[in-house]
Amino acid sequence: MTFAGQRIQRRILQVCLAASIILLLWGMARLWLDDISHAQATEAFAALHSPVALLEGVVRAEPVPLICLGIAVLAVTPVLRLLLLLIDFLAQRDWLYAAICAAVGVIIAVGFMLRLH
Amino acid sequence: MEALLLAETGSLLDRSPLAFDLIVVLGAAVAGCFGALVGLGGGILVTPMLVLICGVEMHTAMGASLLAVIATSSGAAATRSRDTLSNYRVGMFLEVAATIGAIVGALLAALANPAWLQLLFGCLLVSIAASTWRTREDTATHRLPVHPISKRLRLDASYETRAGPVRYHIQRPLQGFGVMTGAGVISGLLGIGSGVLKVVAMDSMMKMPFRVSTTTSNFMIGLTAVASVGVYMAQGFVDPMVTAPVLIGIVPGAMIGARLVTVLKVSLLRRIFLVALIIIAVQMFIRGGGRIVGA
Repeated sequence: MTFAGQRIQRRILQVCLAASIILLLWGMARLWLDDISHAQATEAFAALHSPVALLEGVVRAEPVPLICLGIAVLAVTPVLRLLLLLIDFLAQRDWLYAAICAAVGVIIAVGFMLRLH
Repeated sequence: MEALLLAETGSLLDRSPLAFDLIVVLGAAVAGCFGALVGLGGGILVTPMLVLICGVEMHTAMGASLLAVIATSSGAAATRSRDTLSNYRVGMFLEVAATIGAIVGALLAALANPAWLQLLFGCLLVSIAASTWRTREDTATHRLPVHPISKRLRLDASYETRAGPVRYHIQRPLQGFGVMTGAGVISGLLGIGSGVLKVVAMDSMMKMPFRVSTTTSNFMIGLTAVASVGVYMAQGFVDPMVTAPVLIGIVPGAMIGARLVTVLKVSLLRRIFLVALIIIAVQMFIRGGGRIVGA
């Protein structure tokens, strides 16, 4: 990866990690202050059926949605690195490795869609 | 013994959430710091800590550990000012295999008995302790022949040293691809980054210089972990209340460890850490074996 690409990657990762930790700390603090038990938090987590429900909970500063968003922001960081690498390979006109990056992205997406019954 | 009793009587999180959070934040910080110091990543200590000390269910602990792997991988990349070592072509070529393996491993984990997973985890800890006992040095790989597939895939590269750039030629790319599928399966099955196995495959089998292998592996473990995390989330193995304190502790812990590595004498710490791994492995054997015998 070019040094310019590395600099952008580092900055994005720093922002994502900081945002994730702030959201997690905020959510945890709300859990402690509101004296929410694990069972109650699990119930609130089960009620988060969609991204819209998650974002609505975040807007209301509810603890479980804040924690879930913090986890989601962190979980997306490797995918962002993959995306930046894909852009970098495309900029270098390295079609083979751009295709390999895209293939890995598709495999990861498939992993998120799989569910055992 | 107290830890074992705790685990048998239910999760500490259910009985005392504040105590759970404090123990896990501190434990994850220590795991992240030690992991960064000895180059193993912190995820390998997170699962035993959650299972043995806090009584968390094995699958949930593995889900939290996978997210800890992502945190340490991204955290290391966020602190590194310039990366002249990572070979992204090799990393992406091998990630095709590792991500497929990780999804297969995560699906197997969903079907597996937690007691057997604990036994497997114990075996893994012993093998990691054995393979990392000896510190490796960079091998002279520039004199090796050019492999036709590596040439075709443009995997060969060079890295900067004080004496100038050193060129290396990647050997046995297809065998490395195969081993990486196995590393992915283990990552998904046991909720770890499999960084040690990846480094061994790239360093010993593919003859990639050790330092290049470790930095490339650090990039790869995040992607492998995120492939498994999708399956773990879908199966309900990611509990935000367990994962949050792990992440809050492990990110600063890993960053502190990455800075201390240049100051502290790591060789003694490494020995202590590996002995600790063996002790944890024995506890995992006792707990997993006890459940299987008792069933």
